Amino acid sequence: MKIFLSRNNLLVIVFFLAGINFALVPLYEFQSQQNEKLIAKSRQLEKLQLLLEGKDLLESDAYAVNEIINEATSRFYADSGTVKLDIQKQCEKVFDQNAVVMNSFDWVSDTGEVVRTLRASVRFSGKTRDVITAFWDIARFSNAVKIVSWSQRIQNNQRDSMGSSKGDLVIEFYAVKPQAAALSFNARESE
Amino acid sequence: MSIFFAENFVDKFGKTVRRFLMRRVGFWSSEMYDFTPDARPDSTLKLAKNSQSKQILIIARDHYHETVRDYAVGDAKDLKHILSQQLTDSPYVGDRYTVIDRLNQSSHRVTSWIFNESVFENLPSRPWLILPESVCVRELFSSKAVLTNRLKRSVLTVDGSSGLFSTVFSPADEIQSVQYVQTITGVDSKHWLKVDAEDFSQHMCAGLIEALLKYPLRFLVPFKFNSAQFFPWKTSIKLISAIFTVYTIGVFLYLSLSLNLVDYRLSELKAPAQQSVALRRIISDKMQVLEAYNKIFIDISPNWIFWDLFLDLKKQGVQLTRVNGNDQVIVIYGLAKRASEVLGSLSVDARVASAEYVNSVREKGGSEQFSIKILLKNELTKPENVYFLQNNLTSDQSAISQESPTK
Repeated sequence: MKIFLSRNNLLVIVFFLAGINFALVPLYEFQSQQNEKLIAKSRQLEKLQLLLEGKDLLESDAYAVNEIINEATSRFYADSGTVKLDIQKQCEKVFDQNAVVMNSFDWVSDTGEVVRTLRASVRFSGKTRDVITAFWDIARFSNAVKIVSWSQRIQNNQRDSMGSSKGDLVIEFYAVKPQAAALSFNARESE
Repeated sequence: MSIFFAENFVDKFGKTVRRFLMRRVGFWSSEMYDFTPDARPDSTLKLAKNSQSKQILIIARDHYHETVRDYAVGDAKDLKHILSQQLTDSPYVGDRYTVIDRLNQSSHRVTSWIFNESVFENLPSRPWLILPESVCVRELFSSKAVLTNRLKRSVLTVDGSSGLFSTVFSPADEIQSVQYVQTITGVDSKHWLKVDAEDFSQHMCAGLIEALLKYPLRFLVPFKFNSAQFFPWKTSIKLISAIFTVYTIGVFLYLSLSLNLVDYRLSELKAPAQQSVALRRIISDKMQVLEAYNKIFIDISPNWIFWDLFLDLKKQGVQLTRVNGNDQVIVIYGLAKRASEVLGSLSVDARVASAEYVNSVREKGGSEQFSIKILLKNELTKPENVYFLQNNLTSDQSAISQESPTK
């Protein structure tokens, strides 16, 4: 034991430990870093390969989504400078055709980014049966329209007559820029 | 041309390393023997010129005691504890080397080897690993019985249902020994695989590698402190340094080459992958747009159905005086002979989810004045076209399909 723990042997141990600390440990750390880098890059490579394998599916999906969006977009009003005027005209036409008097038409809100949401408040009066047909016609609009709320007072609703109605309703219209979706798809595709 | 040189270099390098390592391996049978590293026509054992360099030894069957015993102990920890307490019945005194194999849930098979102490006494330096000859033979051959001839003696190794059995005999005792072994093992000598002395060295090398791969530390010779002063420190340090250098260079080369290869593949795939990434981004953006659209379509509650109800109530003689609607909730005010009949008919109507009085019913001019809150059914108020996102996607991103328009 004494021979083993001699000054020379202890010096060797010190150098050995110093060698471990200043050479082996940094070398091990460097190799670990390199190994981690290799693992990360290999994973990245695997992901890229998977991505490339699924490119055809992605293309078909992108095409399918685009088709659906185009179709869905056709159910909204085209967001142009005259959209409010167009909607107002359409409403006036419906009320006119059903002989319902439109006492007022006011835009109450205009919000939204992807889809522009336009709300209008309409005051009306006319025969109840005409008001009903007007409501049905609004529901038959080819564009998406939501009747948010309505209130109407019905007068002289007798057994042989439905009388007359007077009230107001809030309608919500939706407008999107029709070419925006298709354009962005084509633009990115050509990148 | 460069590939040829590279192959040549790798081949030469491999041979050098193999030769270097084989110099550290020996076969001990009263004397130290060398193994010939390459497959040669004559690879019989040769007496070692330098016995001190041997760190891994295969000990001949003559110098150890081998036992196989089955223990009805299910837990390996318990078994190890039992073995540590158990006295050996070996004629030799020394460290016991064991291999434990699980037979079933409740029992283990223990194969033990105890080496003759004279082996260590006669060795010039304490080895790192010692392996029994029978273990190397068993690990190499799948045959149940192997008869090996070396150094004018024969060793029979049988790996039967009762575990490893091996014995050594001289040619003079062969007839008796063969009959004895046949009786014990039940394996006819016709089925024995025979390894000649010329092939012994080569086969033992292969068996040693197999055994070391299967039991890398099982046959490690325990370090004895009092042997430190006799330990070949210089040789060991040289060997460790050589192994460490080879390992470090190997790892460095492997990591560098792999990283470069992966980088090259990544740069190759980057451009086509960017298109796919762009496509994924487009799909993701579109999905968000589509979700916004869907939200609008789902939120729309066309209340034209109410006017059908209105006309039906009119036919029943109900006079409605006021209607207030807010999405699917509609409050109607009116006069009827019996308000309860109106509420009853509305409650059972297929178009109505629920109906209830808002205020108390009052008598007015021979009729009853009422106010009823109606909630229309969801499925009836679903818009004509809703574009749904589905989970069964064609790509990993998502797929979209359109549900057929329902009213």
